[in-house]
Amino acid sequence: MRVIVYCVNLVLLALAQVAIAPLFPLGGAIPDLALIGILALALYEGPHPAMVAIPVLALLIGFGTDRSPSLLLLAYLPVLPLAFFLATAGLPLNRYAQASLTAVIGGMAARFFLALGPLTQGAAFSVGGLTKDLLLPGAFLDWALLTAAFIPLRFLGREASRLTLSRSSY
Amino acid sequence: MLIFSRYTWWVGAMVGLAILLAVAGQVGLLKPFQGLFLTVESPVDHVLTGVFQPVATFLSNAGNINSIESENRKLRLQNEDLQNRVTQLKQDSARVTELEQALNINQGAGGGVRVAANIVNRESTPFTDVIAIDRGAHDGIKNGMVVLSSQGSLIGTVTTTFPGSSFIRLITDSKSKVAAQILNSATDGVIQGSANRTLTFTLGTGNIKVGDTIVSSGLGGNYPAGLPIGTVSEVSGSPEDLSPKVKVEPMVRLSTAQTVLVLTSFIPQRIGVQGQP
Repeated sequence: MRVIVYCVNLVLLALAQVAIAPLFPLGGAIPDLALIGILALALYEGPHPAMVAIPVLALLIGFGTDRSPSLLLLAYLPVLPLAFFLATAGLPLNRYAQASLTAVIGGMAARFFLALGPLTQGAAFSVGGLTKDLLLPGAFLDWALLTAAFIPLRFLGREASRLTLSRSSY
Repeated sequence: MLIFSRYTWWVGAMVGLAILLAVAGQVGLLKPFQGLFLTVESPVDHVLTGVFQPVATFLSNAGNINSIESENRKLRLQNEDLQNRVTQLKQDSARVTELEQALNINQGAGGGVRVAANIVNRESTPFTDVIAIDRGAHDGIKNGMVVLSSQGSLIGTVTTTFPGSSFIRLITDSKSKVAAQILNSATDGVIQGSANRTLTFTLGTGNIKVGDTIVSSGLGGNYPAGLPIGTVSEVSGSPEDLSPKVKVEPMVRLSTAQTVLVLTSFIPQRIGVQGQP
């Protein structure tokens, strides 16, 4: 039953990313609901469901937007290792700050990676377009969305789980 | 490697999967699955867009209320001017018909066959501007076909088709190039999408002024001649420049368009060449 709920949620998340997110752009960036979904899944359900969600979301979003699923997969790939690093590096950060940093850095990396796709196919490069219109508004959107998701869950008493993987699993 | 220590196997597996997906995409193995997904997803997409589009438009307009008011005033004046021109053109058209009848001349009907489609998805970043529509190969749409706005302005080209849906690269996409000319002048050039989904008219020489209308020139055979594209909004550069930097405002506000027309009766050169034995 839990697997079915996960699957339905992933499809809904992909649909929201494909159909709704592009309607609310900020500059040249659109909200990355998939990134926030992956992060929320990792934080509240543990890293294993998120590890499955990343390739599934990459495939579904790739199909819906005609982007390369492999590029999407590689774009979202650093999110979990980055979250793991921030959680275990001993930095003086609480869970919210760790999650925010992961969303901002992971989101910037994902957007940069996805921009490489059209750029390698001959799209005109512009530093201003990349930074001012894509990466910075994107970072703000990711942080705002994460805050909108994180704080209410915190008030509802949901605690973020650890992002470390037990050795027995691998 | 320290960072990836516990995730190494997973990262390795995902990189392998990404390579497999890239190869499968290149040889077309994913296309049937994508077509199936789009067939199921397209109606849901359409409903979600219908629900959220008014909210998005409201939020977008709320942030630009001053510019919208100013644009509204400008458009009212332009509308009045256009109404006057339409009246004049109607009179001219009636006069031409009379003269044709008098001289026994028959003129072929223009326009061509167009398939109307709804926009179900849009993908806009500073480097890409792509939309998805709910019509595809079953409706006679092929890769390379020309796509117009509901008012007949050029907005893009079909890049990928599936049985029930297609993807369109808009003219504002930075990979898009269209042979174009200034209306009623001999100035030819290329309309090119650039970063931030703007249009520039390049390689054009001669006297180009703000307000000039740009239409497709038909050179190269990929677009019919005379399709409206936009109006010149800014001309910069020194008089010594061989060709000035020309910014172009598209005729249609692409971000709010909801319906497009695919020109199925015009066969672009690239399809004709592909179709040759």
